[in-house]
Amino acid sequence: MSGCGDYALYKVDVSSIDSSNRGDIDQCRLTITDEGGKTVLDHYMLQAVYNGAGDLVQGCAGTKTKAAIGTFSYSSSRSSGSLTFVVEAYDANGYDPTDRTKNRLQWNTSDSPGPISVKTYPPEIPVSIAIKKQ
Amino acid sequence: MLLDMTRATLLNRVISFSVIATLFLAVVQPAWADEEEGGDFKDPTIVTDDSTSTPAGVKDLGKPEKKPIVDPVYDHWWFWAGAVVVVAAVVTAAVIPLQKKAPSCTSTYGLGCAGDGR
Repeated sequence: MSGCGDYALYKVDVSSIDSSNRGDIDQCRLTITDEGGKTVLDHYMLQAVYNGAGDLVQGCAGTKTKAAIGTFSYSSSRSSGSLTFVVEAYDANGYDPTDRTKNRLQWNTSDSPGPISVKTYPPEIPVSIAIKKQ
Repeated sequence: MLLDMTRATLLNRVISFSVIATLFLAVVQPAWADEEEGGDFKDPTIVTDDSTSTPAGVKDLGKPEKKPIVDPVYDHWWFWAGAVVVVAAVVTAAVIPLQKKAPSCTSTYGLGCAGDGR
């Protein structure tokens, strides 16, 4: 039941389905826009997590980047509308705010057709984004 | 973003509380502000040099006397207890945010967590 104080919770699974330049990916960023085209999260840097042995568990880190990049959680105080998720992977030169396509190796939007409607939690809303060179 | 939203909510509640408090005081104030008049009353039986045919201060006996307030509501303990409860409830509602929060970030989300729902 929707009401004052509710929130939506998105579980965003990110993967790379293109191995051609995956090893050059140095950083991955997530951008979220609402139904009006307003950016609610702008090129948020997805962090890299390592285990005790120094192996990459999740994240984008050059040659260590795996096909299954990892999972991100986004929470929104909205109870209506829709959101569009975009993940962009950049090389070692990183993201250039003046030209988002510069240094970009792979990117993609969520697999769902069109924007994803906001629904009050629970349940967690699954979002799957498979980035590739394009 | 969350901080901005919380400030806006708090500001709205403080303004609402101020309006309620102002209306409350506007209703209660006349109860104690309504004191007995008559400071200028002069005894009509005393005749002085400046007395006229219609001595100043003579009461108009045809005019009904103002009835004193009997058993005013503000003399009851429950009135003030209720007022305190109402004020406390308003202050509490203004201070405690009603916004529900999403579960905290866990290690499942290795890429991180963001958003204004937490």
